Amino acid sequence: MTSELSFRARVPVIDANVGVGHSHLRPAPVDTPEELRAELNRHGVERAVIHHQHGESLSAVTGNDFLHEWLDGHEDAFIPQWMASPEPDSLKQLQQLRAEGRVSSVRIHDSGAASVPFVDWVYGDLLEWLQAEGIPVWISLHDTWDPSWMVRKNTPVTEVMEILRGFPDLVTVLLGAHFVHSYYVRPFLKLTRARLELSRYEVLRELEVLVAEFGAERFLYGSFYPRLAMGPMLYYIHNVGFDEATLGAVCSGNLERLLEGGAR
Amino acid sequence: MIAGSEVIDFHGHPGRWGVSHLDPVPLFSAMDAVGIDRSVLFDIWHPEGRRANDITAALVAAHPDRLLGFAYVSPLMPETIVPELERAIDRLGLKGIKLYPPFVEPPLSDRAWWPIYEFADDRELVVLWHTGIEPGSFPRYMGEVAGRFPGARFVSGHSGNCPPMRRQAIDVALDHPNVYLETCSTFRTPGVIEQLVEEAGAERVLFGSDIPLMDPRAQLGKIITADISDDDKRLILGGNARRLLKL
Repeated sequence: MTSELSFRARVPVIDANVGVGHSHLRPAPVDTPEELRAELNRHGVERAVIHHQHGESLSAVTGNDFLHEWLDGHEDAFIPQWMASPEPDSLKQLQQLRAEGRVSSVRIHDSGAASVPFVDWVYGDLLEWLQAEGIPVWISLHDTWDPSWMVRKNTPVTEVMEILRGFPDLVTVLLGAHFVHSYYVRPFLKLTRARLELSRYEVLRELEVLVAEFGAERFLYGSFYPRLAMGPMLYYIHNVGFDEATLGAVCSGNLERLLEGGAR
Repeated sequence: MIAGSEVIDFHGHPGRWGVSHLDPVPLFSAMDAVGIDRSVLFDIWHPEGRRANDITAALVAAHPDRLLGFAYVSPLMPETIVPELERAIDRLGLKGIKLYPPFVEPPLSDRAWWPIYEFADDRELVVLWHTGIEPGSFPRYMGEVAGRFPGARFVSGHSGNCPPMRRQAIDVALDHPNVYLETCSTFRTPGVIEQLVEEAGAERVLFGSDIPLMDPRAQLGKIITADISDDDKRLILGGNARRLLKL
């Protein structure tokens, strides 16, 4: 039983889901790589997979350009995740980065929020290339809260499922599933190459049940920082009752294997 | 208990979509894993109140050392409000009142809700409101009635949920000493607990989880991993709830 008023991770942790830079909608609480490192350290997180938030719904290409600034001198702590989109130059940029040996994962964020349908005739070439290269792709289900319009736009789960069925060898990580997605998580995990990132999935005791049902290797710790605080889900995962091997796998081991596979 | 202090979860339901009846065994397992002693439950699916409050009271009666119950009534059936509150509080022993404005057209400040506030005012009861972006649920409505019913203790469930509504909730708490802020939400914005404490004061903040929609361990983690003092954490985790509920 945890009985302390403070918390730090007791196993090695790599956060699978951290955004950097200031979103046009949400200024981030950290402004520099040093400040982000301090936040990681506060919770006992050693490293993080980072993407630039500008790439989420404005421009993946430009966001990736901005990401270089965060990596400079901080490659020991930050693992780059490159954004992808239907922009004409996006795939070309990713192929160039791949040729330089710098791609271990790619991210597609809020296709629905950007009013781009997540369908084969838009994303097919990109997904075909990722599948062929063995690069895992992170796909966000997180709804977008836009305070300027007071509206919420959901990434359509039907489109996600339909398109992924066409790429059975593509390794995918579903981000930001929420309790409103609780009916969809199991069908998604029937895609044998799919993983679930846990930043928002906190239905009562579901984590224990899902790990027993699908195996711990299908689940990754991610915080979705700076949308969400970094500590709460890490605290939760540490208090599920996992043995140390399972805890280590969820907190870093599974992610490391995914990224190694993608980097080949 | 956490570090010798009782922990009370101020926000929970006896079921969720797809799971109408809460199995308390897994709930207690999750609570025990992190030291949560007691949880407040309320059912919001029955506008006449009777069935909802019977469900809540039965769970509390079966586990009186682990569960506390709040009564539910609704302006959708105004004739039942006062008699059902009298039954739920006086006979069933429920400790407070939960209101859910997204199901009702008039906003929380409308006179349709006043019989509930008058009842709570007379008895110095807690009234836990769902607050958020839904029409009728804006926290600012608390500010329109909190001063009129000073004996009632109004709690802003979710503290408004999203940033603009959180701002409203904090401002109302600053204006009215009988307004409190409760923490459960999937809007786990960085710094949100720190903001509530810094701006409204730790003595006005209550830990809640929204079980079983959410696992109380993740929601507890919001408090444990916040950059606030241990004394503030003790107040939020249980000290304030004990005071408000006169435990």
